[in-house]
Amino acid sequence: MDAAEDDLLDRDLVERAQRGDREAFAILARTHGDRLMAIAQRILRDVGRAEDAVQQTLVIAWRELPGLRDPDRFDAWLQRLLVNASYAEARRSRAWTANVRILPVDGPAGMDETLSLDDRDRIERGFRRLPPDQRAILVFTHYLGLTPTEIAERLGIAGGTARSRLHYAHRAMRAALEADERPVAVAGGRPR
Amino acid sequence: MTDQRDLDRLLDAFFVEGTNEVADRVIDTALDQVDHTHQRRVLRMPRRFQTMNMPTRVAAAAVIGVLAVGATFFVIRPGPVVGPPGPTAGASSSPTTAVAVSPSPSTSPTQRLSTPSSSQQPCVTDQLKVLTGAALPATKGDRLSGLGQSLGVYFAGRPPQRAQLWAVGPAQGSATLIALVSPEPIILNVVDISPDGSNTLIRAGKISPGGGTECADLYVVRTDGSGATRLTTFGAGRFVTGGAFSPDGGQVAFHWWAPGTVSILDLASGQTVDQVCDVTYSSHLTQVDWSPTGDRIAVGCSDALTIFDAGGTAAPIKVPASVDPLAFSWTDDSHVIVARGGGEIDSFDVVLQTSGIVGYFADSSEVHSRSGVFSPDGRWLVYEAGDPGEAPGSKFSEGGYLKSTSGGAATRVLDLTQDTFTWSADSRALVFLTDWTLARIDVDTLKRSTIGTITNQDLTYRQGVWRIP
Repeated sequence: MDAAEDDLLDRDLVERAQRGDREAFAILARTHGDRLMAIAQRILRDVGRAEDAVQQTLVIAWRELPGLRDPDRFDAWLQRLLVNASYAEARRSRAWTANVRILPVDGPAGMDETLSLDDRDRIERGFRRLPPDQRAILVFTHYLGLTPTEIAERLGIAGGTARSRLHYAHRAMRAALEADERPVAVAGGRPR
Repeated sequence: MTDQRDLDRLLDAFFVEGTNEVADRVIDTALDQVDHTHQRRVLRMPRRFQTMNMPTRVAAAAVIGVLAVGATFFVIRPGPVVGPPGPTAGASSSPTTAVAVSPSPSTSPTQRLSTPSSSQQPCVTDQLKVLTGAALPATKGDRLSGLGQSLGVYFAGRPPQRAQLWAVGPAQGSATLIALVSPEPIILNVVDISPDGSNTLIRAGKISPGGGTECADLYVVRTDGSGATRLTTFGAGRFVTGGAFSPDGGQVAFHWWAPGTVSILDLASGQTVDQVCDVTYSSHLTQVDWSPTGDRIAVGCSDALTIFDAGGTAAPIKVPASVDPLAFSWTDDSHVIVARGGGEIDSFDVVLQTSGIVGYFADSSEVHSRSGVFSPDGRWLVYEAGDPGEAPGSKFSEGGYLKSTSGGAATRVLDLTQDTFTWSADSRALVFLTDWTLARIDVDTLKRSTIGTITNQDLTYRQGVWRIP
């Protein structure tokens, strides 16, 4: 089945689900579930909270589906719901995770060899210090490979806002990496 | 120093790692919740029904053909159109029709919709047939006892053949059929009732069979069934998403897409003022709310709640941190109260352009919907949510909650209804329709009483707007 056929099938399922067909919605949930989980886990850096965000997203999607104007935009709409659910999860967990020592997330075998354990640990710590909206913009940029314009459309924010968030997220990540480097990068008594 | 290229490389590699599969139990749990969750039935929600089969299409085409031929043999009074579209202010791109909607009743048994001067085709062909109240025996009317000075306009019918638009006015013992819409378009909503009760706004539109672009037009229909006028002529890709009469009933403000625009249409002159509303597409339906004096309009644009000057002379004002608000309402001519997604209730001063939190309706982690309604005096908020404490990821049971904006806990007042909630004009009662019964809850005592029952229950109630003193 090619991409066009997939799209037609998805559209048919969305329209059926909009009319209250739970079986159609179940197929959509299983089809899109993996991608939702991947995005949520990368934003939240916590499998349990990502699972909660995915569950919440699917329930809200079912409830709000009749209001979706264009069934062809179901995927983007679902991702927007997921990001909002992830924000809520992040807000909920913020109070008691702030001082928790972060352990690297278990990844699949064959991880990218270009990222050393040291780099990964530093990025992990820097990333977890970011607010949820900046985390989301980094995931959409570096994991999904979207441009700021595409992200803006997907998240329902202005293009300038997306570019601005990406700029600040990159700046914060760079600062986090360089802050971690300081203890070993002091030259002449003055940090670089 | 980490340059951008290094940072991009590190981040690209970083995000390769991580979970790529969701556990079956996660989906199963979500679907279990879905089984116990109603889909939202919201005001101005597109209604979707099965496509007509071929015999029905042929029959519908035959009926339309007979009506069209029959209409040529009648002298049909001109519609309420009084002239071509007037000049427009601002970005004058909205294809609106000049109108003069008089509250005076007509004695003509039928009236055809006005023909817009624009060469563009309307979204749906003119399927709206307006009837006088005398066209149907009173005994056919739905009965609503004890309605007093209340007013309601609602759609009912048997989809997909045709929909019926009914109105019930002050001191009437039964509702009157005021219009037929046949064949029924996929999108069909009552949007608003004019302040004097003489006119109603409805929206009709479609989604193309090939999955193409949706469109929807806005109409004014007289509640005595004496006439109707199409206000917009939107072809493919343009659709009205919400609207409201001004406090004096002389103007209609409506939001349409695309591009996201708010138009203020003067019903007497046909002049329009168009202002840009949305910067990005939003799947949300759009609330339009006039200030008490009619000088300003609050609209839920996609990126922020936005305050527009009704004359189009002052720049729009974006209310901070107001993306997808749960509810908003004017409390006086310079203050808008906003219920935000995080559970906060803000009061925004339109003149000073400052806002402050005046209360909370829910904890930010609790489950609540995107649609709520403030009472006209801003003292109460009603919204749909799970039980207090129920958070995303847990099972929850939806219901209607009442919350004083000045504090205190939210009270679950009822389960889901067939319509969105309506407030009485004096902010004392919450009005809702369930199982063909229009009922009210006194918000101070929480005492529940029946306003009336719709007796014509062989039809399917779709959606309506109710105005209770």
